[in-house]
Amino acid sequence: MDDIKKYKLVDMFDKLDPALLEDLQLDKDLKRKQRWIRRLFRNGHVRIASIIASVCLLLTGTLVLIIRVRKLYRRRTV
Amino acid sequence: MRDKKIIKLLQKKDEKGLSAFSEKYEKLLTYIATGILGNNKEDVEECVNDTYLKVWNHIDEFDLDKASLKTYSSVIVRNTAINRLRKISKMKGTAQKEELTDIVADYVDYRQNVEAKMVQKENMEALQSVIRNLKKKDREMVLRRYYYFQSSKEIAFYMGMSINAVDSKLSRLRKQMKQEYDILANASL
Repeated sequence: MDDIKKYKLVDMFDKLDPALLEDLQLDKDLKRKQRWIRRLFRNGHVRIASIIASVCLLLTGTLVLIIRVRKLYRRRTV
Repeated sequence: MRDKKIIKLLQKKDEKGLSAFSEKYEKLLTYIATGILGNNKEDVEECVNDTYLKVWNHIDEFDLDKASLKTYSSVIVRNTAINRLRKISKMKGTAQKEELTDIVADYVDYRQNVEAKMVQKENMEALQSVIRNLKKKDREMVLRRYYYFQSSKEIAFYMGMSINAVDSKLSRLRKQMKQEYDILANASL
């Protein structure tokens, strides 16, 4: 019963006067998220971890490529 | 471009107005639509495009003394997203619950199962009076939750609170609003 009443309340929100929404500036949420991301990467630990992860990814990719090229080369010479 | 200029261009049906409007508000509209529709990019994009069309067609109906273009656009995208969600749910049989907040998923089910009743003008005025009388932070929390369907996690992040604090505050606010609403609604009968 409480759920039905809760959703009736939400239903009525559909017809809310836009003037009541004027104070709620949701675009600030977007700015806040951007600031949070920037702050995260300003953290030295996060920056170092990102660099290490990128280097590892690059090395793994290079290794996989070398192995595949060698396999292909061996198949051709056999 | 300032809203006044965008509005003038839209009223003249100049497409530069629509470009300027979409450039200025696309991120906000996408953010609101994503909050309701989840990460369904196609649905979100369609919802935002529908909003551009509605703003283009109905710009003259906006009472810009009451609320800004930003607010009207937010209202339109929110309602468009809710309607889109109902259509998707009807087609798929159930609401897509994985990415949605619990309240919007259940709300869609509720709306499909219960006949929508005509809301009396007095009841709406009572509700609006209750919301108007809330403290600014409380009103923000209620609108984020029950109008924009943000999850407790999102509300906690954007309002700088813990999730538990948000949940308990919302629970108290619901009770408080219900009490005040009942008093006002009964007084009008």
